[in-house]
Amino acid sequence: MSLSLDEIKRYSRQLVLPDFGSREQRRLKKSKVAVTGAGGLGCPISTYLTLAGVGRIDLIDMDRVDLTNLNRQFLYGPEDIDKVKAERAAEALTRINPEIEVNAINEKVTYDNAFDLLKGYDAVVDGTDNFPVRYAVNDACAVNKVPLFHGAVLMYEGRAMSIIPGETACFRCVFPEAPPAGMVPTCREAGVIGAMTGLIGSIQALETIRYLADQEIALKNTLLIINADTMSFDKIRLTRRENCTACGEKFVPKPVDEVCDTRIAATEGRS
Amino acid sequence: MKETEVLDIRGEKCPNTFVYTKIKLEDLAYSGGGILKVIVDYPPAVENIPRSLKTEKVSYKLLDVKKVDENTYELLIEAPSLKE
Repeated sequence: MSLSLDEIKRYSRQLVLPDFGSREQRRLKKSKVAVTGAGGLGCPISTYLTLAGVGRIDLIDMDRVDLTNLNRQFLYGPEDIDKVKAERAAEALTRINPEIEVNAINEKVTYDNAFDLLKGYDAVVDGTDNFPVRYAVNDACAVNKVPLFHGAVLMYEGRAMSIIPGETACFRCVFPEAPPAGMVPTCREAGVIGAMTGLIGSIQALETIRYLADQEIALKNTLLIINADTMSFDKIRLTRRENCTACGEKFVPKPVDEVCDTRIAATEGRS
Repeated sequence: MKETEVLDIRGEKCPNTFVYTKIKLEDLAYSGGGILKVIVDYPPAVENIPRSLKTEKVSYKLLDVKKVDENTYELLIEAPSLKE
């Protein structure tokens, strides 16, 4: 599978990088990535994967576009309100790069379907904003042995970590249990500004692109915490837990109770 | 020395001259190595291509530079054999 002249021209500004070339671009081209959530994080994640030339991107989101999304979710405009988010995003991304395949999956990720839904990908990038889905995605990726690129934003704090099955700590190694429902405010309660989700989503996308291209990635066994109030970037070293219920010796299903989370779920928009 | 492949990129300027050369050399390297003849008609590329290739991870060898006419040059560059 060689690159066409059009592809070489389209990607020329990344192909000039000394550690990135034909082999790396072809690896991106044959990669299949799922992005969970087409919201504040999902927009920058899927846009940068699209621009870089990832061959197939499946966007999973069940929401419709809402006016309150438009301060951060830049793939949508006022004419998209009430339209299916994943479909509108897929159309926008295909317009940006018609060389790749973008699919809309208009479904809700749950603990019951995550294991099937997230099977067979080279990477999953998480742009969800609530704990039931975040843990479902983590556990499914741990069991399916699919690399997962985590990110989260709350007010001016953002976090990111890259999870390589069998090699690095997973989300549940670091946070074995979800916080009690209502303890952590969601975006609508706490507020979020578009540049912040753009920052974290870009980091997730960059880690994903470098991983798919077979380059070294910096956020393995590392939790990056950005505080934009002070513009501090801190890295916390992580280690795997042998008895982790997701990626440890024995897998134990531990769905995070969605019923407990009703108060949050009922009021939240996607981050 | 006889070239394995020819890349005629007359009409292209930097940095495209370098990108096309780099990708062609890599494709050659991943299919067993060989010698690439690059034809350019943008004189700055004659110095820029070899200089940029030196900063690549792969080590390429500039074998020859030939001036064909006022603006046209041919560069012979050797690509090693690489594994994907």
